[in-house]
Amino acid sequence: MTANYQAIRERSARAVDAVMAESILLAPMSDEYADPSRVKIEFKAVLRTGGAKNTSLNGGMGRDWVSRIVAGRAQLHIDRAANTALVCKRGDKIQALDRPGQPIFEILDIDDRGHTRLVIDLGEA
Amino acid sequence: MSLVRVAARLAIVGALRDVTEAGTHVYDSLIGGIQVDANGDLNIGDGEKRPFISVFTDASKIEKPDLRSFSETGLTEIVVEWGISAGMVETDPETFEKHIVAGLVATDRAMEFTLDLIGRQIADALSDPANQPAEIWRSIASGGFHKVELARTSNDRGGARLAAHQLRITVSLMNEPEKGEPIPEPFPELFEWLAASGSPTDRKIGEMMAALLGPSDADWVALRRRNGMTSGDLLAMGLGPIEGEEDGETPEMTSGVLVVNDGEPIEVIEP
Repeated sequence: MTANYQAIRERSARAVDAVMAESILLAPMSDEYADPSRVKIEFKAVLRTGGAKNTSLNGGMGRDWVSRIVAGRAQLHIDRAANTALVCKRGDKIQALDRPGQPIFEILDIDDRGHTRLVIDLGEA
Repeated sequence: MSLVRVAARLAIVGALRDVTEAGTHVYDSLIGGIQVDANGDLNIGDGEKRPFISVFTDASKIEKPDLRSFSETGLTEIVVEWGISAGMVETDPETFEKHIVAGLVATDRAMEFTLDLIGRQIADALSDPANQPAEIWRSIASGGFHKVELARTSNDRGGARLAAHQLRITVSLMNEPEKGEPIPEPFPELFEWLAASGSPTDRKIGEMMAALLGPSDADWVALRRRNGMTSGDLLAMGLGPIEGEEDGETPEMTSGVLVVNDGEPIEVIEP
């Protein structure tokens, strides 16, 4: 069963991706080793990186921990209609091929319940 | 306020350098955040991807010190933190595998294991009879440990998968070396060790600490200094040397009178 807004939804995702999407390489991993059952795949998706935050080691501002880490969460928004075969798992690595330094991220969690996009939370790797 | 706290940090950092999985990433009172740039380089040390260790001296408390004395160091909390994040592990550009050391990939449990391993390496280093700075640390921690606490944390909320351990040692440290008194162990060794350091900062710190201690004072001046006594306090205890101490000035002794067994007083004059 498909909802009536499906066509509009897909058109809007395509329109956004035409402007905002960048080249992404997905490297499938299994328990931190390269996963032989899946191949690396390059595709286009919207990668949003926020400002890096300076937090205590426990993730908050508490006084119990002195050392601090600077890192920022990033999100990858994938058009589901254009990438139906794509399988992402927690721990897989993502490389932003168009960015300076081609930074690598790892998949921390995946929100696959949305109907337009697969939203993937990324951490630094 | 304390040279002993500085010495404790310097000695612990020196004892841990190059003997744990953190390699040279051992820091004294690191401020600011550790970060990995887009190229994957760490913003600390030589950029090599390794875990880190950071050493801090935290709160200390002295209950009922002598008079106005600052010379006790009391119970001091020494905090050693070490951590590893996914970004602190080298990534193979082909396979994208991250090896903490060859053969050990950066799974959650491998990261936790690495932290436990470093913890054990820290304990081993600080107890190693052949480790010179560790020997200095053990002399500074002369009063022994009162409490040893271990804590851990891990999260990926901040955008990096990371885990860390914290060792908090509540330790009774030696008293402060007194200005104007002979320099106590292990400070001569510490100064010698710092002078031989490859780091200009270490050498300068050694020089500045030694300069604070300065040349020897007369006994009564040293006593007064150690206990924060007024000249009145000293005179009341019968320890003021001679008149003239009232205004803090102690004139040179040029003559005196010697009386032996109620015999004739003999005047002694400086030749």
